[in-house]
Amino acid sequence: MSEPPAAPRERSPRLDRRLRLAALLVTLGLVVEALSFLSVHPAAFFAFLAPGALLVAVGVVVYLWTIVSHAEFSS
Amino acid sequence: MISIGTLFAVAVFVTVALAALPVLRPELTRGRGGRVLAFFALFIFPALLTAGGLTVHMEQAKSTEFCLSCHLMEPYGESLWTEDASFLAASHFQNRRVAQDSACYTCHTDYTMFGDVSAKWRGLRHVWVQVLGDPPPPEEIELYSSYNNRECLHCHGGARAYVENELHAEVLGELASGELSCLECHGPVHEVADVAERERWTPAGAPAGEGIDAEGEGIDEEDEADGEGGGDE
Repeated sequence: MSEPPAAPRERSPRLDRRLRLAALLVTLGLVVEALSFLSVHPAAFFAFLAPGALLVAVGVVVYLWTIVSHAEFSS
Repeated sequence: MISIGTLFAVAVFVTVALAALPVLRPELTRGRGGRVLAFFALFIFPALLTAGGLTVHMEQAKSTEFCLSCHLMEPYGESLWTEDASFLAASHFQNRRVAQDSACYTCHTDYTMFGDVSAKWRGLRHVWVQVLGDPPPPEEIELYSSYNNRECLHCHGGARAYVENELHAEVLGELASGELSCLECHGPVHEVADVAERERWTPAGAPAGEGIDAEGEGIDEEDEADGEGGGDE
């Protein structure tokens, strides 16, 4: 008699929330970065750095922190 | 021909689409494929795009167009068209001793290992003062520190016309050490207080009263005549 298929592992809603937050930050940051290329102006350069690159950096850090602090994500 | 800007925009669009997947359907990241996708969409691609975008912005920030896009800098841009060849900035710009599309940057960067970064850091201070501070009128703007001979000698140092010049020969050591500033003898530089009243140079072939674009169309390359203060060597 074959074993029943393993049930999909449950993930904590917190992990999903964090991943969603990371993805949201990265997406917003990239959109701001892309918009900053519409103009050659110091304000566009400033917008690229903050909030654009800053949002991306925070999003990446949240993502990396999430995957190293939740063993279930990578196991 | 597809420009770098278009490629960048496409790459950003694709990455945004990929990064939006975990936002809309976080359950996708439960499988191995989803986790790999998330790793690229939320780490590798954004990091590469941000690094690439920063490089493009840094390059754009070297352009004359970029510097003169600030209203406060307009008189400085106008000073590049001064007819009087004794004006240092004008003589360099008009005679193409500096690339016209990066004229400001060529003289106002630091020729050191991290000169680009320090120049842009100063630029961010300009933006900070402009947006949140109380910017002085153009004629009262001063450099954060006295102009360093290193920036002049980056091009002129070692040039035959520079080292063999009788006046230079006596003070080469002082010029190299910065004890004597190049600007002690070579100037005025911009002098924007009365720039509107000064006679304006019009390149041959250009309509009267109009200058040339950043590409330098219409400049007579043979016109190397300099005044006393504007000579480069």
